[in-house]
Amino acid sequence: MENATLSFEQILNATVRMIRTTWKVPTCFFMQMDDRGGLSIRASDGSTVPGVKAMTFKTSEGVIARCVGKNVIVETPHLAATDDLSSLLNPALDGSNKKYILVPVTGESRVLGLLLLGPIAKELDVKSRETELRSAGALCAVLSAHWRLYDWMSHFLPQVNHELRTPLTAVQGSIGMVLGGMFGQVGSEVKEMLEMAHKGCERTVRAIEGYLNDQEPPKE
Amino acid sequence: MALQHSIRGHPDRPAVTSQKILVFVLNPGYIRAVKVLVAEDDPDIQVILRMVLTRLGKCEVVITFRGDEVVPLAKTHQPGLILLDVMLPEMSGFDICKALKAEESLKNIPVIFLTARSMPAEMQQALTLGAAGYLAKPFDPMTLVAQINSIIVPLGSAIGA
Repeated sequence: MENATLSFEQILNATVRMIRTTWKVPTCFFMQMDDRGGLSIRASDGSTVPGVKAMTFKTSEGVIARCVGKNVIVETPHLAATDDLSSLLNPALDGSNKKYILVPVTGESRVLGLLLLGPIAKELDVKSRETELRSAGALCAVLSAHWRLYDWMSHFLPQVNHELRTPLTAVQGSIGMVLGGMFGQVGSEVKEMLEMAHKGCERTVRAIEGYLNDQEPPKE
Repeated sequence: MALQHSIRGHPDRPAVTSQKILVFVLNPGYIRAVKVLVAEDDPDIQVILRMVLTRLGKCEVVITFRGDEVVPLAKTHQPGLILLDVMLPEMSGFDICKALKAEESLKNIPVIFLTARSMPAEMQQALTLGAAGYLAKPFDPMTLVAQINSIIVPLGSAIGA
């Protein structure tokens, strides 16, 4: 699972780099939205700010909120202080006739994040290149959706593993102690029944391990 | 479950055979752990562990279900062995292991993780933190003492008669 997450990060970084190169801009970010509407930088290329990936942004107001809330591409020479991006991007705009472009990254039913690139010349007609920008956003959307799924699974699977193994330990352990003769000998019929139950527990454990290793549970 | 499958000792340490365990147990030079501290939050597993460790391991058992009680209890009781679950209330097993290894008076007590969380990355994390070994749940109570000894005998201690 960890390897899969890592490869998604690498793919997303390469995608962002490709978009930046295509648009011939110094900076390109992909920000992924969490379930509470917060945005955090998942991939960045061209930034000289250290620790940029650790930055998170609110979407309550400002140009970011306009972009993701109305699902529109926004061109902006200025970023409101509430967007928290100003400190990161404004130095590149100072004293120049340039702007940034914010592209909403949308999935089937929700906004997944935001693609930000620039600075570009103000004269550039973004409208004529909207399809191109939306396609770049769509590429990030696919990667973002897969990343979220793997992220969720990497938490979900160990939890399921734990929740199933804990009660099995009590069941298998107590049967094992009886079968092991810790409380004296048991009759042959009782022993047969307990062995059947013990075997069932072992099968369940093997099945859990099989699923966790992306394999079919072993056939009896 | 096969014995070899559930024992996850340190990869750098040589494999321990049952013959070697017997030699260590019979050798008067080893230190017999008379007291075992167990951190386990499931009450049913607590019962099983207490029974196995007292009857088969011939140990005195101190059990807590809270993670934050492990270090103070270890200081008070000075156990010869600590069995740790990973998911515990108040403090995780990994954090407990880190805290134990940071304490001068406790750092030499062997710590074995006994947990249902058996993903390879978690096992590796446990060993990196200084744990002596890792036993996956569910375990076979009748061979648990042998499994524990296979981990701690190379460190110079053992449980059982």
